[in-house]
Amino acid sequence: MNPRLTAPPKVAISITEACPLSCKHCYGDCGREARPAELSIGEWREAIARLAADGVISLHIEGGEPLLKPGFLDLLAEASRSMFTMVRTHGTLIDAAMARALRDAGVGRVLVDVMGATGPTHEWFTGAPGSFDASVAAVRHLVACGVATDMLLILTRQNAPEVQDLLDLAAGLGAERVGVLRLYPLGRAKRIWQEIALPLADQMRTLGALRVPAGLTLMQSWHPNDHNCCWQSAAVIANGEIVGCPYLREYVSHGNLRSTTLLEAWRTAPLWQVLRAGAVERSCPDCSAAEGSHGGCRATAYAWHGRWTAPDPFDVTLNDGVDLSVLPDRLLPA
Amino acid sequence: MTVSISVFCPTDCFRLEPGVRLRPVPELGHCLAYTPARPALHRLNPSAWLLAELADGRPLAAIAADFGEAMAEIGGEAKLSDVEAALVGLIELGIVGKLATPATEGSQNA
Ligand code: SF4
Ligand code: SF4
Repeated sequence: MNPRLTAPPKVAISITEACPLSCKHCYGDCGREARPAELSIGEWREAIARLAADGVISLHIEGGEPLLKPGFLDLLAEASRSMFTMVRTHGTLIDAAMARALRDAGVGRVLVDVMGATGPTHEWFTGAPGSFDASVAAVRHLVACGVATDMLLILTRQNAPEVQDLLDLAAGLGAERVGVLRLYPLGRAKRIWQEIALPLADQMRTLGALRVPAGLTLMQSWHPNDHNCCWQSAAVIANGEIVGCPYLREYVSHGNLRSTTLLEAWRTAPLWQVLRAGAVERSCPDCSAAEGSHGGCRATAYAWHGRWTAPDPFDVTLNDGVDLSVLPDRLLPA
Repeated sequence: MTVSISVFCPTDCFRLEPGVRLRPVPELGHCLAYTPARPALHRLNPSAWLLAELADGRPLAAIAADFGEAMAEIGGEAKLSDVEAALVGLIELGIVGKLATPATEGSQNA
């Protein structure tokens, strides 16, 4: 079983689904305009103050593009007074002045997403010419003004040959860490799954060939780091739905911030309690030893098998012959 | 004979730096400490956690006495040099700060 917490110390929020890019794979199916059901900035400020009062000390903010949320910098400054804040962004709105504004608002870390180590690969996904150079410039600006900065890459067929180049680029830019993330079958990614998803063996081969430059840290959640972090995870998406983890957004709802609090949902939502308890059919001993949790990621386990207790097919020891480059029929978009 | 030399003056007092927030996670046996002036989240082990809780503006000797008492309750002991070293660590992280004179009662709310 997993460790048990009476209240979550860390929370992730997707503050908006508005974004100026149009990524082919976007998990949130984001568009230029915010959706009408989104929490207003006032509702978010109130909710975040409540989170802090309820013991949350680390707040991860993503989107969409968080910087597009009107009033975002004020909200960030307010949150950063009592919580370590992280902002995940594609970076195209971060020039030197915005980097300074983020620093002055007290941000703890900025995570800049790219979809490749070259303009053509990145922009094949984003559909926005010039967006790669803008993301790279954002990293440069953030590092120059002393903001701890990571780069993130979702591993796909198109960018697998460029992951090493991304590590080298990130190290050269002064980023502290690169996170290579698995591709999740969510939002628009489902529509192009077969075009962009790699079989597990190719994913492992890509990761196994990486040489991490001195001074850079590589974060990856494949074997032997396949954790089941549901036991400590808490997340809310733009419309206020409490989903436990952004990767569970299409599968669960533990309530909505408009009608309950996150702490109340943490204590009472039955499925959340089941997921946090971490009962699974099988575990990889190496990953359990390294991560102190069992069974690997629940989002991918559920996506492929339709059971919360199923083995995670992204783990080599639990894959059982599942071809990750093919989506189960159940998940195919209508 | 060994003479231990303190890194602190006898009149030095210690308290949490302004804005620092402690978030105990007793289920995992640690405490998270957030330092907004230098944004970072630190994980304190039980003795660093206890020391951070005891740093309420009093001098080293008083903090060390309470620390030693708490350690004795669980069958342990604490040398002054260990307490000093742990305090140095907390100061370096920006969690605890040094005051030149003892804080008077209520001064933290002034
Ligand atoms: S940058 Fe992120 S939020 Fe924006 S469209 Fe791309 S994936 Fe979606
Ligand atoms: S769904 Fe996966 S990534 Fe999300 S909290 Fe659970 S184990 Fe972690």
